[in-house]
Amino acid sequence: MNKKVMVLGGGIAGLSAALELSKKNIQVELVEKTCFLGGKSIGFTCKATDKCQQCGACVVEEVLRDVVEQPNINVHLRTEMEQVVKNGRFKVKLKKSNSIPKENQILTGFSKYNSPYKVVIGNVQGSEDAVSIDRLGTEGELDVDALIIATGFTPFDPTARATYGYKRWGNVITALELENTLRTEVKAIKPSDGQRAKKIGFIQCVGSRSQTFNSVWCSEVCCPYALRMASMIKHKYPDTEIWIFFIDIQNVGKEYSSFLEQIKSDIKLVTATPIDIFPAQDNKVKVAYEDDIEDRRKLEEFDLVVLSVGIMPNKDNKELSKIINIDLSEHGFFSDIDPLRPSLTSREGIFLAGTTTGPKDILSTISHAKGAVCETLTYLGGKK
Amino acid sequence: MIEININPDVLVIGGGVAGILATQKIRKQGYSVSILDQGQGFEPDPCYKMESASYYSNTIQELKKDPKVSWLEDGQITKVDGMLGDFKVYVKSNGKVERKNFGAIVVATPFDCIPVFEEYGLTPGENVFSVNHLLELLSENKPPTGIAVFLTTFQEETNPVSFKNIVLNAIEIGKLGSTVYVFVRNVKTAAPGLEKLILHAKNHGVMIIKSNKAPEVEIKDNRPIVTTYDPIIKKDIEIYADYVIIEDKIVPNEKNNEISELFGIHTDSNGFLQTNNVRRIPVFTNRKGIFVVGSAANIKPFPYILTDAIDVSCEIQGLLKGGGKVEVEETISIDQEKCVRCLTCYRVCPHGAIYWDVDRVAISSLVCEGCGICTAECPMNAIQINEYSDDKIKDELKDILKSKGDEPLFVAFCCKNSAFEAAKGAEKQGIDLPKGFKVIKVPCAGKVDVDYVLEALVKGVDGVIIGACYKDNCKSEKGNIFASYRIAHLKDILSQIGINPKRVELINVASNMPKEFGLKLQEVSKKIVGMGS
Repeated sequence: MNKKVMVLGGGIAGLSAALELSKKNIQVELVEKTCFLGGKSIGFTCKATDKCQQCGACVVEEVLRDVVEQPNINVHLRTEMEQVVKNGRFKVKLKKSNSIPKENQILTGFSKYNSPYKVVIGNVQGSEDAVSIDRLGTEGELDVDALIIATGFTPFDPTARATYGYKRWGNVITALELENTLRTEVKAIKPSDGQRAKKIGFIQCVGSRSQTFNSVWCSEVCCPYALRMASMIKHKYPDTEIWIFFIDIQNVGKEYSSFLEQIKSDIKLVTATPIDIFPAQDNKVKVAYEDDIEDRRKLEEFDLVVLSVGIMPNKDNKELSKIINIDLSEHGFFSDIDPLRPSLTSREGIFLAGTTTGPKDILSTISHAKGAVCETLTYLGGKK
Repeated sequence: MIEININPDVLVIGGGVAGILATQKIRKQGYSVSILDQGQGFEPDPCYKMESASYYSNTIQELKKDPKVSWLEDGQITKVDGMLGDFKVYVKSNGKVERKNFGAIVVATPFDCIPVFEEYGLTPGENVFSVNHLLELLSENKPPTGIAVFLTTFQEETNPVSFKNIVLNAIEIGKLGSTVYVFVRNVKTAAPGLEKLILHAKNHGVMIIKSNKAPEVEIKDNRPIVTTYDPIIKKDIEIYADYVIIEDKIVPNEKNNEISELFGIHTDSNGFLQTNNVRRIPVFTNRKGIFVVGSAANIKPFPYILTDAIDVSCEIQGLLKGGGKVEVEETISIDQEKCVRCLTCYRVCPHGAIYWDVDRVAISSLVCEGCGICTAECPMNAIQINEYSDDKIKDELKDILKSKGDEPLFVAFCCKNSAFEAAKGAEKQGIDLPKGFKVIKVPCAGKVDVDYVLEALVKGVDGVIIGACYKDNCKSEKGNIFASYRIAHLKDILSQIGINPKRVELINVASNMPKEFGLKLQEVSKKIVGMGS
């Protein structure tokens, strides 16, 4: 009989794990809480200038396509795990997820491979081609031989940094929102009027490297995505002025020396952690920061401020930790028990993939997920 | 179907951390491994020594007991033949050359280290030495004491591997009684656990001082004096140090170029054995069956070398499947009647799939990635990919031409990895595309033969677009570059025969950017419509 594995999470880690398993003739039950596969990275933009900058966003599209085309991957959208009992195999109880956003709206997928592509919640006009959310979700029990936890991360919620005015001043957005806008509109748009932003300020380390927020880690991806998006925007619209406020700039990509030289000529890099962001005339926003060189407080006005929010543990980790009976690290990620086998947990048959164990970029996540599959196969092979 | 015999043995090149990790993980999959050291010895790379020394020695001990691991000490590769499933590697060791056969190759060359004494105008001595030398002193139980200053490179940026090593050393000598300063331009934190380690170091008295300008070092009365501007207290500071420890800059192994030539795998601009291509990162090379791990590919924190090693062991399992006979479907063929043995295909194949078989040119369907660059470059049209034969593509073109109405007709030859996906996405999302826009799917922009474009234009297509991946994103490394050469050449021909060369354009796009593709197509089509037919 074919072995069956449940993959929890339909982001790039879960998709990569499901695909690898399926290629090895393992039946996969892919459980995703939201109405779409692809997680956060499916909404990321290509960041190419005149050449690819190795962000990996296009690879997500490809992995999703391959997953959708695999016959032995069974997808459960809008579904959560409620209970796991080990009785030789694992008996998993599934339930419909209730953590769906507000009523009366149409949600749209980012990729053509999102199926359904449109999901309607409540009553909305013009939703004829959308699938009702009530038709999504699996309830009941499933028996599987192993579990891969690929539930990913939650981006830092910048409302916790109240002085940055996120959600209060219109033209302050997160980098994740900029990713989505660039993917769908191919330009950086001001939410206030839908026009292209001509002066953009990125603020790094929002939520990362902070003792205040008990997040004493570098998210590893924010310098890469911010610098790459900045150079992409600058390439497409050379009249854009871009500033990046940072604590310590991190190395980006394989050829970072030449990349950084290029960045320095295109973009203004400022070593400072801005203190305040407040609204100015014409929907502009002002950033207050301490200038180290001139040793005084300075103000700079932008059309759009982008907060480079960090990778935080998934907000559901605590609850999930109880369900699967696996402890979290002091910071709230799922931690591997053996530093030399990065997918292993304290429970045999349950494995970890992707940012559920800590910050990773797209390509490292895929690689980590393949490793988790490798461990899973070893486990399944040894368990007769 | 062709039957191919797969050798299940694996060669790992490099006896450093990456090599040992790769060997261990591949052994776990059940494959015999020969591990080759090219003269650096079986030692952990110095920059990983602090964090991995005990792991390294445990693993070596475990592997030494394993009869399925062969140790090729101080060996030199002199020649490489063959391909996936059957590589023939000639290794010179102890004065004699031996041929060994392998199914797959893992390149895990360790780093080289160059201490940056020159950057500070220093020469090594009793109180000026490199981090590697400090490691030696520590292992000999002769730790220096007093005031220590670590100087990182300011000419370029340092990196998280080297910086982590410095912080670990700083903590260590701090524990042994030294007062420690570390100077750095940007604190490198982008590695698992590194931010926490840096905080730990600071809490234990290590002073990490950031500066935009490199500190200056002067030796006075045999004592190094370090001068710098401290941006926090906002004045110049002078540190009378007892010793200065210089960063060892991490560079690719000096043997990498040799390996690149021997194995036909491409390097990036730094000299690591993998191009800066998103289709390769983290462990793939341009040749199937040849992988890179850790230090051979890039400067990577220890946990990422580990995931590389595991990843490669799974890939090897997927390719070799235990070894033995496998059946391979013939996907590409050479018409030996047409072939004039010019070897153009051999030279252009980015995957090393073409070889000389006794008296003829042959292609391995096992190794071929099906990009079709060779089919378009072959001057005799002797090579055909079954799925994308010239006839099939030209038939598609004919069908499109039949549908021509009053509107201008645009044909886009779209790479299946990028533009084809973007075009399908645009359709699904209702993005505006030029009226009369038709797509022909190709395996790579490098497959688009000049003939296809000329035929399209001559037979009444108003505009031809070649949709390609961006540079550094091509699955076949250079398919998009071949396409751009051909189009430049074609534009010359077109202007000579009186066709406006702007009727042909190459567009770079990613698979996930349908809107961008739509915008770029509109721009091109507007110009062409303006020309009239």
